Amino acid sequence: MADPITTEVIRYELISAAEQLKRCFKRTTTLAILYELNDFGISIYDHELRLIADVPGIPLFSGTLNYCVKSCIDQVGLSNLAPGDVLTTSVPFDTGSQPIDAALVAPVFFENEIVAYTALKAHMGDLGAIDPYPTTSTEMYQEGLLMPALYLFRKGELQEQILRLIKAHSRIPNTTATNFLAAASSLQVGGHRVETLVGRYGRETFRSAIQEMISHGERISRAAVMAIPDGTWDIVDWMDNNGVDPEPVNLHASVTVRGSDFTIDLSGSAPQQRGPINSPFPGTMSACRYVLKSLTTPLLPANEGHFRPLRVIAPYGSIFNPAPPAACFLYAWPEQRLMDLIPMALAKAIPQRVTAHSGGDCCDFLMTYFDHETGRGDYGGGVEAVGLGASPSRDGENALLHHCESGCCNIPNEIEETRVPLLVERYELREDSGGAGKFRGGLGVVKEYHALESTTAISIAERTEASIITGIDGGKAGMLNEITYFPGTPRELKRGKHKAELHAGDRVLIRSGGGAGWGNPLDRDPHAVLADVIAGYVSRSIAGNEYGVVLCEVGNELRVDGERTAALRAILSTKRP
Amino acid sequence: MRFAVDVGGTFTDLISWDLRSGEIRCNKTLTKVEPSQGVLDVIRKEKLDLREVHLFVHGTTLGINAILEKKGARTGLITTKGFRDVIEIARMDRPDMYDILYRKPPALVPRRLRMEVDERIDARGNVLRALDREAVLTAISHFRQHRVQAVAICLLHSYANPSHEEQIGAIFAKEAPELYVTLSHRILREYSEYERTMSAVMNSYIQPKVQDYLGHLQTNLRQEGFSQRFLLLRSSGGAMSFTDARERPIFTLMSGPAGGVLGASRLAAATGMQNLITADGGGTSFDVSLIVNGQPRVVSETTIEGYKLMLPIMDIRSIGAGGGSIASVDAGGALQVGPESAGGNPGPVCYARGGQQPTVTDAALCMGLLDPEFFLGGEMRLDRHAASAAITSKIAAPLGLDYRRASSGILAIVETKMAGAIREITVEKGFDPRDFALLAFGGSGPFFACNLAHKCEIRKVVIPVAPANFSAMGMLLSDLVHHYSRTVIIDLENSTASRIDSIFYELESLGQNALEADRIPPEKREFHRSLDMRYLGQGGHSITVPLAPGTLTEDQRRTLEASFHRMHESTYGHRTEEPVQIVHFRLQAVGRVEKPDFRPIPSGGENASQAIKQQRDVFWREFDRVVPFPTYERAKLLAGNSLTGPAIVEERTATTVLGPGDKLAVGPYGDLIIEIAQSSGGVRNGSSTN
Repeated sequence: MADPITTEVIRYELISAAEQLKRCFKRTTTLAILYELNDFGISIYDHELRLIADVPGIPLFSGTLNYCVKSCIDQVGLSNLAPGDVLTTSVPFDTGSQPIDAALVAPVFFENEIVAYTALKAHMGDLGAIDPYPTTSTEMYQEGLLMPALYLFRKGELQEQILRLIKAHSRIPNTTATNFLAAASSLQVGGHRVETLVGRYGRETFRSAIQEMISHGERISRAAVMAIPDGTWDIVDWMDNNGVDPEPVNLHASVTVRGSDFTIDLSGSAPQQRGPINSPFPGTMSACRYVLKSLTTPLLPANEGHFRPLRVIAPYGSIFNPAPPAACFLYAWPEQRLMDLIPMALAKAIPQRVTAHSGGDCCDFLMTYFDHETGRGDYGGGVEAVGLGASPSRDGENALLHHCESGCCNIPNEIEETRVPLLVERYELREDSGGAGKFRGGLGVVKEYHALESTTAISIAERTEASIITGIDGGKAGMLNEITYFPGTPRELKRGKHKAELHAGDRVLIRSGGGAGWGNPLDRDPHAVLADVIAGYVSRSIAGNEYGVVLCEVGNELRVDGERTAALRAILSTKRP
Repeated sequence: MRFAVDVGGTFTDLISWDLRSGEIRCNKTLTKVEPSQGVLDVIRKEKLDLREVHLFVHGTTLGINAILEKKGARTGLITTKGFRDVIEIARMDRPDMYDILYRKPPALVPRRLRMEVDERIDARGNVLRALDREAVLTAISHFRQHRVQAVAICLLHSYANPSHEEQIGAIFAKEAPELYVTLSHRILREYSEYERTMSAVMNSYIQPKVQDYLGHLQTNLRQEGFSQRFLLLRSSGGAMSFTDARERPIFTLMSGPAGGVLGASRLAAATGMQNLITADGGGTSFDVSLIVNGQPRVVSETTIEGYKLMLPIMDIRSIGAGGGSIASVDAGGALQVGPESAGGNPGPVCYARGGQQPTVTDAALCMGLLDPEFFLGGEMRLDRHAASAAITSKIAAPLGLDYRRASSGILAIVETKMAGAIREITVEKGFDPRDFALLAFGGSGPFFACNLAHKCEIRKVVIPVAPANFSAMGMLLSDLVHHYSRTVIIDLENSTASRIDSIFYELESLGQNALEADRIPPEKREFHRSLDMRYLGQGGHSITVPLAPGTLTEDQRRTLEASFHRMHESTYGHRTEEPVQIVHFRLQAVGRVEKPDFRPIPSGGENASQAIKQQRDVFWREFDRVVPFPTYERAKLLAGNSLTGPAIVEERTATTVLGPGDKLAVGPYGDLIIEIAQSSGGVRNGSSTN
């Protein structure tokens, strides 16, 4: 039996092993989206594939890694795993991701027995899809090299043929191969820490500590679900399109809480789509796991126990559980939408734990700088911050990454400009983008890119037109995502999902969405509106039109005109339902 | 004669070292509202003749306190056009991956005090657009109109070409000499605009307060005849000159705590105890840090109050808990302790200086753990009656307890917080506290040490000589250090030794000038060069390669690549064929300063009875009643003496409490080495079972 102190030491030592694995990977990868932005997920599992540690990165990746480990074991057989093995897998229906978000899995042995698995999934570079980041694929065969549980290392020996296969399929072979090697080394560094830990405390103590960690995790998670009132809550919204056909795509989540069980039913959502916005089931599961944990045990280090109350229903052949060979490259976008919609559905049940809708997704814009000669390359651009939704007692936060990438950072402009030939011309908050409300939604950002050389640019932003979501209790929606190619020229074009060839001098303007408001904007403290106008978060016209606040200049100072504000608010309130 | 003064939240501590006699003396006084007054008071109290002093090392928490209390200067910011929101957008991340309610810390410069100027420099340092000087003048009048005191200037890529920042600095010097100005490249010559902006803004935010204080202090010291060298301790453990600290106070943020950790690393070297948890307990804060294999942990990035900064700093975890922590009963009927502190003014109720709110010190006094007649060696009499009255009315009555049980509850809560900080830097970082000894110092560190060790399963506690002045002692043990770095990305293959050398020469000439200004003779100067390197494509850097001192030869340059491959493989497990690049150049310029040694004390046998002072009644939670504790006078203990708890060891400025079964032995340098009794499942005083 593990005493309580030993259990805690083992818990945090596992997290520390995962952290070390992460540091090792960040230091050795060769893409800015990996070492600055953290476009990866890392987890450690016990011998029964139960989560025992993860680290901040992309939560949508972390939540799928158990499926990645399981598919590797299923395909090669448990008896064919040996110390020094590292397997890689990139089939979307096994990993819950696009092929270039490949997973690597390594068993950890102690005295000839598997005691744990280390697993990592990351955007490795390029594995040869029809485009560097396809938005119009209709089958998984167009989305890059499919590797079904192949040995990258066998008993410590690098399998050169796999590396050759990867390089042969890649637009940036050297960069991509380096990242696979960095991932494999990092898994072994993390695995070694786990092995040392087991050696130090003994296998039995290790297992009993894990058992206690997980039981405790389940107890605390179930207690938190118990505290949510029983009931069923529904929410519906639309995605812009599936990337290929023009029609909006329906999303419908129904959340049921009964006692300590938490069920998410996605049966009402659209069927499997022709374009690449299908979310393979492991990915759907991962989004739902995130939602449950963020509502129940957000600040505790994650383990399998926290997810035990969760059940997810997604019919086979639907957008949230597609059948092969559905195209899945943009799998993350419907999942991102779930991560906003499900908490918002629970606004009446647990207002203190949720927020109104955020800007909506990670507003992705990439410029590819791939060099065929050298086999190296990097991406310019990346994911962008959005405004977060308001809560019942405070304004939404300005400019944070959507929680689908909550463990990620932006890439400093100064670093980006040393690596790729572009200039960032401005990077600022987007005025008026936060949805009006008694508590205002947070602001999105404006970023303008200036290409200095020819490049292929690709944007993947959802929530640019079809969304019908507003705020809560009378709060308004925030501004939608807006991506403008060649702004201010005759070629000006606004698109969410798009690919374009840029040449030196071309510009692209990214304006990310704002969060939704909470409560009637006419109930907002006029002095809070004044402060927003002084700071430039809200324009004077919106202050009048949406908030009914009239401001006047007294000397050099702006003040609230109390009488005219009261009068305007009286008029506006009769016009609004 | 040398001396050091550490100004803490509650006490101002002095330590002096007479180089001729080797004598080391300590003193302390309460920290004053005007902190420089406390420094002068303690100097007068010690009767130091400042005309005899050759070196004064100082540590202050003024800067960090301004940040913690958000009481810095009204600060303005100038950025490249289009980038004023960088400090608010920040890095867009959150510390906890599953926290959908996360809030960023507030931007230290409100949006209307962020001004933009048109100009642009690229990543290679080329000027794309010249500086719009008119915009600078507009900014100046805007700042004046809004009564801004200090301005930070951070332009894109100024690490590569600082000329525009320098031009703006010159305009400010001419047009607005009354404003404090920080140019970001003077704080940091590395890329990452958020961190550089934040580091510059933070410098501006604390500069008026710190500069005012230092100027005031220097004037007063001069009046008392002091004319020699005045140094401040850096957060990284080295010292910096007075002039330098006025310009860049950001580097002194953690100067007090760094002194303690520096002292701890020297003690580790002297005693052979390689792994230490340092616990620096004062009146206001409790700072913990690790010494692993004899080395303190210095990092180049840190997060303070949620703000990411890039500067060399000791890895220290600090929480608001100490003898001055205020106890209260909240609206829900729960007992709260801290983080608010009564500080040294008015201080705890028992100081009888007007304090009305009961504190941890009052609780300790009520339980009999402190001697009211021997506080500061009897210099200050503590009012036990006032303390128990305050605890009775404000804590015990609302909770329905008697005052002693209420007092013991106050200690239990503050100790739980302290133990949490220790777990954060050990257990939560994967270090087993059972592999470490707890080195406790500061005025209140020794008081809590044995209970904390018991709670965290640490088996050994060490209390150094003069624990309350240990941080100040650490300051006397510091060398003068200047850190220089520069982001210059160079392909190793296409470089030459002379190109690499020329950049180091540039940094070294800065270092030579600085050490010259510090009046360090050439033979006492050392320069440590290192390179942050990576494979092409990797991030900031993957490996830091130390270089031999002196001119780099072509042969050495060629071996650099091999060293990099080797270190990469041993650190990460693989190497690649990719080209190798240099990213950052780093130089540490060190001016060696003569330091005092730890000195052995007279030794005696095991029997410690010569040091027994009295018996005192103590309320001990484990027994839930009053029991007699023998008390010992530390000054009379001899090396080799031993004793077993329950016991209290008293000295002028600290009290060490041993629980039942804890075994103390006096070490050769006079340090108290305590083996903690293994848990019998019982509850110790002030600790609750968990």
